[in-house]
Amino acid sequence: MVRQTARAVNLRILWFGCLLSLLLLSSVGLAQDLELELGFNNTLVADSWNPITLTRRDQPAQTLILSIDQGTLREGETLVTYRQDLSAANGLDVFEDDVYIPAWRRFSWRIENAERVFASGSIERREVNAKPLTLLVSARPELYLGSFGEEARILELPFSSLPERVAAYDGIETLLIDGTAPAPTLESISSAAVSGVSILLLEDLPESHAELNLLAPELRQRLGAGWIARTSSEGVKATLSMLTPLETHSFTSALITSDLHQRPPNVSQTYVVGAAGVYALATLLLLRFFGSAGLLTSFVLAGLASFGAWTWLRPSSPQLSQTRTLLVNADLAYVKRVESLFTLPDVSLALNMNAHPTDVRTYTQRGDNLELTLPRYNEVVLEHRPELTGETLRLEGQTLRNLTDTIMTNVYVKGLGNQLDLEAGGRLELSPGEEPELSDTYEALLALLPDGTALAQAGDTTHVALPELIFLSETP
Amino acid sequence: MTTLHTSLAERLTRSDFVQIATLFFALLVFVLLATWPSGERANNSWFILTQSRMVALAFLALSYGAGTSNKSKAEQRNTVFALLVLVILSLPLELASYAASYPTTPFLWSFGLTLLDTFALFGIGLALGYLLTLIRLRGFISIAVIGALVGLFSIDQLLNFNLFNPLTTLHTVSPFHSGTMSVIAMLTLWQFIRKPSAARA
Repeated sequence: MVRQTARAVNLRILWFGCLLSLLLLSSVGLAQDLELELGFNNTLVADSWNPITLTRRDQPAQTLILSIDQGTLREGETLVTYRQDLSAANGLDVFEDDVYIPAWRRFSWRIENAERVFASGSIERREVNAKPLTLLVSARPELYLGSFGEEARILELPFSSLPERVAAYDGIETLLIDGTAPAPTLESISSAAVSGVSILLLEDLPESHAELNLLAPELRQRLGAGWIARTSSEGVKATLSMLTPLETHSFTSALITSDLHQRPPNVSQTYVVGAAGVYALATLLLLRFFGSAGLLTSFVLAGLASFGAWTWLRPSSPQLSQTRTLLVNADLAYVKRVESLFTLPDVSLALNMNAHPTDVRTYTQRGDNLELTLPRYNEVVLEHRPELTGETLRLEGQTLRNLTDTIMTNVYVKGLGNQLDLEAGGRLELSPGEEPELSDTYEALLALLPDGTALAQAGDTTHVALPELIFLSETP
Repeated sequence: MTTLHTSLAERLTRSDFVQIATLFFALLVFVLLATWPSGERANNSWFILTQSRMVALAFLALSYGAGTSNKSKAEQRNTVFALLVLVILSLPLELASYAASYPTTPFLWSFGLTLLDTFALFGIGLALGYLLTLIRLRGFISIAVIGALVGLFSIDQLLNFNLFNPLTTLHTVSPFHSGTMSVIAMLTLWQFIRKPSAARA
């Protein structure tokens, strides 16, 4: 009897154990079925565009929501919301995007649908760091840690696949590839370089990395706003000191000049008051001296005056928008675009763009729509997500080539001065010119660009061609 | 219709109304002068002009309502229509400031409300006049009108609700205010159209 009871207890323990194992396995499975990566290896760079990757397996339709409170203790909550509706995932589904992450006070995320929340999490405020990252794509990252300054924010990516989007590299300053980790794609390296990253390819890369050498025929070359350089493992530090990265974040403030903030001017007070006075006088005279006919005529006059006042004084559009685009060219072009939006009435806008306001205010990025509310007579400056495009302006030694079908004016070369206008598809031999009075945009940009850079204007777009750089020294 | 039109024109040409209309238009032109901004500054002229216009019309409606309460129905009717003519004829000035100010309030709301409130406040003025005649205090009509105006404006603040004060509702659509004023306007209209025999009964 006693033996039978002990056996029953053992069986129960066995059952309980099996049940527990099943539960554990199912929970691990659930975690693997839904995985969110914010930034590179869950490391975010504040005040920059960061990549996000959501991996789902066999999931129903869901919504990914990031809630970022960028308010202050004194001014309270200022919420930035990112919402992305995701269709049902049959099998594996990987969603990738780039999100502007401002410095946060509170940061939380969740994946939900109407029925329930599938996963959620938060990021501590102490993790806010706006310092750009240095990425080491290597299986032996410890070899290079000493090559970057003590201040460098280094992230090791032994097996990570790199995104193929320019905006994903907004918070990256250096990328080192030594060939010991799986080879990244040409597109990802091009995107990173165009974004302004200094890319270091170690010499003697294995065969699997051979195609990366296509991007680096010379020891060092520009690509977009960044660099691609070949070096030895001992020469990383020296090579980095030779590359002068462009401050792509500062391009935004260079584009936001006073002429971007234009409000519709009011019609002169003299004209308005004068017209009102004449109308009032005419009406009073009609009423006083012309009896019934005067009354009827005054109604007609009121109708005509109303129509005239409306067409004369009503601004043509309730919102005014101005865009400034900057293209930084070196084989490919890095595109930075800012847009000022001024509204006359209170308005809730849903703009088809991926952008963020340059000041602290509440907004929602819902899919490809930016939603924000503006009070009357208010302006917001939006910075669009950086992009990549084909080359538009090329410097070939002493020749400048316009690769677009639009005429470029205000051609200026830093160190040479003013040049002639550049016809569509035309060439221009550079020569010393006058030093004209430069626009605010040019002044601000020239402070950020190296000597020999050519600038040209086509409408609201500023084209920049970076100079080729000839290195006389050998590999450090 | 012709009689109404002729009698209305006759009412408008009387010296008291010509002086009132002159002052009314002078006030609006002065407000435009004082509030119209220069350069690229925000144009808020409509917010002040529409309130000044409403205060002036409310005062005129209450005063003329109380003042004509002991006059004939035709006189009362012609006077209130003359006030409504002022509302219509000042439309271009309001529209000019509205066009440049770009407020969120629909223009038809503010214009319709001004017409409705002017008519309703004339009715309140009439009631005030009848009351003062009844209690034999008609000599205090000027003070009573000012008191009624202040009372109507402040009763909403006491109740914390938009019922009578047209100034707070000019810029925000308020169904409660328009409902209240519509009822008063209907009663005023009924007062005009009811037959004298019914009144005596």
